[in-house]
Amino acid sequence: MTIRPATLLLTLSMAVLLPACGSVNTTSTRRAPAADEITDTKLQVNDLLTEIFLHCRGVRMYRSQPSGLLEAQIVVANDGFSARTFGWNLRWLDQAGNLIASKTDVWRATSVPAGGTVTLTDLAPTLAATDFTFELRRSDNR
Amino acid sequence: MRILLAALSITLLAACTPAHRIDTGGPESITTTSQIDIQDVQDASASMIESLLRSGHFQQFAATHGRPPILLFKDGAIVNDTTTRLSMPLLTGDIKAELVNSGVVQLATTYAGVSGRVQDQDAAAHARRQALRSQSPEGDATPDFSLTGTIVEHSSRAGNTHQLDVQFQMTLTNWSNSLAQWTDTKKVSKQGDKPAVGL
Repeated sequence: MTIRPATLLLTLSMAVLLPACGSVNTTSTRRAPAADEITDTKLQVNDLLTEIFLHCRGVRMYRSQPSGLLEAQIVVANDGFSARTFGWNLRWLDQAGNLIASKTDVWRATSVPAGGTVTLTDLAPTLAATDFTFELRRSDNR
Repeated sequence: MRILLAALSITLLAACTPAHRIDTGGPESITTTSQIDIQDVQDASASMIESLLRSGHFQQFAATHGRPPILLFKDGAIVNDTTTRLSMPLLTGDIKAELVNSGVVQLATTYAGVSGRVQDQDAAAHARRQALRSQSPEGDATPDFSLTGTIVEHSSRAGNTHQLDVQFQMTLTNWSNSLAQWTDTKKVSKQGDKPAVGL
């Protein structure tokens, strides 16, 4: 068996370059969506995330105990070959759909490594919260 | 030649960014690695508010005592052990506003404590007069809880890349047993070789 120099060079280059990507291999024992996962919201969040080459693994909204306040969890996955940084803001709405003003309404920067996932969590400021809006922004610096 | 100069001036002027207002802590804010930025402070205060509310200690107290707890949270209760000269109300202001305005706690503004300094001196003087007149400690808003904290940083460098790690830490002490009932930390890390606009 003979290996051509070009093939050998390519193989060596790949071996050197791939570890430099710093990708993360992620696995999960969960095979089905969580019982309280919100499917419609997941699709909407996915539409938003695909624009920056990320995708939504799941969206959950539940009552945090013992406070009784609603809490949202959004699982974001990065299937790309480089880490991605993005800004996100989750705003809570009341039953009528009006925005609940809160000091927790701030932009947060989050990084997700290549091949990895990150769970974004946000707690509703009051018991009046029933729904949320999710805003996403690609980081200009990364 | 004149046309060339005029074109060059227009190009240079267009490249400048005239001063303009931005959303405080928003995506257009400046990010640095040499100091704590307003986004870091806002992120930390939002995380602390959420963590405090999630713990449910204030809500449980209100359910047991029939009134929101009285919280002592002085600006000086946060120790800034970083190289950034940071006005503490930038951090404490949002936390106070969110907790007080939502009715979760009542803020003690007339309690002197060991420092002898009260937040509202007129209200404190009025409370003292009322207490003397009625010969009872009523009006003495002794706190049920107090919040304290620290801000620390760690700086590192690799070549031209500078990294700043900041940790905000806060603790809630229950005055009925003098024990910490809640404590949490928020870490913020930033990396880069020069300041930039953006998250």
